[in-house]
Amino acid sequence: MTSAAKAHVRREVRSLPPGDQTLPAYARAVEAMRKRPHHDPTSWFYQAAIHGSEVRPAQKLWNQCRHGSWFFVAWHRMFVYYFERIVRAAVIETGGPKDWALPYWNYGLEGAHASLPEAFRKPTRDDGTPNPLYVAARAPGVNGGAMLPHAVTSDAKALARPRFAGVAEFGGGTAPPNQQFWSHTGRLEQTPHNDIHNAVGGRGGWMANPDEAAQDPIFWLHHSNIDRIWAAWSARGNADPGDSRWTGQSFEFFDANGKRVAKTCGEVRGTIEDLGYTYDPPPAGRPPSLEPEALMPTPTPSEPKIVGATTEKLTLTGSSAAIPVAIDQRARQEVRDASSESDPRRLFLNLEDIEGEVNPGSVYGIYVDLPADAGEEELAAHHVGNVSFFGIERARNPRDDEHAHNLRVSVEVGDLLRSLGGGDTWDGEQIEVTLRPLTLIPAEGQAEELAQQAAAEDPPVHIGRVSLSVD
Amino acid sequence: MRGLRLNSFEGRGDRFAEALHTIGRRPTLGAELAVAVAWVALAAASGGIGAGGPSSSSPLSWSGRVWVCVPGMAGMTPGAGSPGSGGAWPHPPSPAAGLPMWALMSVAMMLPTALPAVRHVAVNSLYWRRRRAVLEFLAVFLGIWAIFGAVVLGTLTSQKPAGSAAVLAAALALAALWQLTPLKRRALLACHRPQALPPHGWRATAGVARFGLRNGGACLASCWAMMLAVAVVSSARLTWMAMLTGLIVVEKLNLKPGRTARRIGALLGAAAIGAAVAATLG
Repeated sequence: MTSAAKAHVRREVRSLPPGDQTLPAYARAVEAMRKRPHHDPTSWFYQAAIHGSEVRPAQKLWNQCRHGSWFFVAWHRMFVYYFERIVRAAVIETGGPKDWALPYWNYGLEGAHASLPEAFRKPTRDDGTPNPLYVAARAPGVNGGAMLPHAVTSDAKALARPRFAGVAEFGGGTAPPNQQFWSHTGRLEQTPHNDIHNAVGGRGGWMANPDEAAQDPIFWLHHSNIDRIWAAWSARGNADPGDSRWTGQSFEFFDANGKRVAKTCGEVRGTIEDLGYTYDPPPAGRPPSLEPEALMPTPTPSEPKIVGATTEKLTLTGSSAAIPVAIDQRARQEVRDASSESDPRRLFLNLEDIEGEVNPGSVYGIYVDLPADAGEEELAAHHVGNVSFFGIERARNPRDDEHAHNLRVSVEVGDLLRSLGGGDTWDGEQIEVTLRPLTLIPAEGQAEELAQQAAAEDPPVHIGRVSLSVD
Repeated sequence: MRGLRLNSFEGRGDRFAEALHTIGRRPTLGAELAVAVAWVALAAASGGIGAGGPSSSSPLSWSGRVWVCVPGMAGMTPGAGSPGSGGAWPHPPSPAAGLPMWALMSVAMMLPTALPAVRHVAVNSLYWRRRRAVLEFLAVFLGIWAIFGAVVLGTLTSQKPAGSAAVLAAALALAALWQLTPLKRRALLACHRPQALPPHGWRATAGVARFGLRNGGACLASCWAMMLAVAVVSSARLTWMAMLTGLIVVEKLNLKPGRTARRIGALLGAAAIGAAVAATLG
């Protein structure tokens, strides 16, 4: 156990003071690690391949990432923790600070925070040498300072989930421990995690491909932020799984000395207590606005019941699409009741059997009963979550010896239906679901380039069915 | 104390009631019960694992004449299961008479592997259509196996294969080879492919039927050779069925399907060699 006084502190990348050595030291370490032979577990290439790599034959502990799974947050916490130790050793080797810690990119903050940090956008350093933090294979506009939309960067919907386990909950649904890509993506993994991967990587960029993502130095600052959001969720008094299938599940990595090490999910729940690092500012405790009742665990729901679904599949190619979900006549009263103010039952919107050959790199906002010509306020009020397709190639065509499957996204929509009047004014006959692409906000001089990009058709992604279910 | 005891009793009662309620709400409960009933019926028909063959005292044996799966096994006569043979069945009068036994075998052996598909149909159907949708899926799924059974029984009846151990060795070798083909691997992956189900009306019926055809077809393509091996077994069939069901379930539900299929292929290959040796010696 490490005391808080000795803890390494991960700081927000844009809050680093002028002259701070964190990023220059990171750049030198990246450079040094890229020069190491690819079979060295502490090399840049090898570390990225632990997440995923198309190179064959795979070496020990390659292709280990866990997605669409309740192991997502814990596996990536361990991955980033050991990577940070390897980089720290490289930082010290290259004359950097001994207390170096990985910074995080909090894109969810207002203003310029939503654009890629400047140190990662310049092809060369001040001395004219190539910048190791720069990667050309990113979405058009990102290296020019385009901002990511707030619906993509916001962690608010994930943080608001009261439970860890479940597809519509914070940490994702239960999944077999040895499957790299499962279909039970939790709310944090979807937004901001998957959405940031797509928004930064775009179509064909490194960040949008699980086999290349960790080659981009921004990957690690993104995952440092995702880890911080988990710490913030825990600091609010929310509970991680107590199930031994989760707490007892161990994963292997390489430490800074190149030796294999393992930790269980139960051993990485506390960043300070278990791993000796924290964030600046430290994750806040329970916000005063949350009533204690809001934090009470809700009873375990029964299998949600389908009360309405679409008949035809929906194909997305980069434009907005709207589809009505008719609620079956026999369920309308139940849905009206469940969406009334006093009813504790939850209503879920499900995008099922999502299939596609390649990740188009887009992110779609999911809106319910969005009025025509909706303004910013209405868009925000009707927004229930996002869907993007990071890893879709691997779900349909699994590598090695895994089962194929489709993706699924579930979001709770009960609060929205209540806010729209619920059982009092809503007829309960149908809801209209709109999927709208969430595009980058152009920086100065980028409007035309990004407009052209947005007009190009995406490779298709099919959504087999959109359904509504109730507890 | 009395109050405490009562409370604790009530607590246990509540937990028991809750457990019953949870079990009662399982979307696959009906199918699971059907599997259990099928195994009990098969065990009763064979006189039990490790016991003798069918006898007139076995309630499902119909005097050892009707519950017959495969005809023409050498040395088998009606009611000829001997003690220690582990449940053999005698000659059927016709392929049609073997079909009920085949249907029971299909439920016992194939339905356990289809439980995830049954669950998919149940939880993704409008909740008052669940039972209907599951029954429809089961009818299509088992219908596919029944058609395969009719073909197998018809072929075996007309061919009158001689030398049970040799036939078994050939069937096991075929099953072992099939395990190693890319077609087998593709079929095994297809068994796990879900399908969006339309919610109501004829589209819902057609959707479930389509899913049943696709899932049942993939299951047939994956397991037909192993089922054929069971069909030509002449003795200890219940034991063979139990062993092969275990293998099929492990293979279908294991998360490393390719590796598992190859290992099972090796096991079947070893069994084929054993049967061939037995045939030579016998």
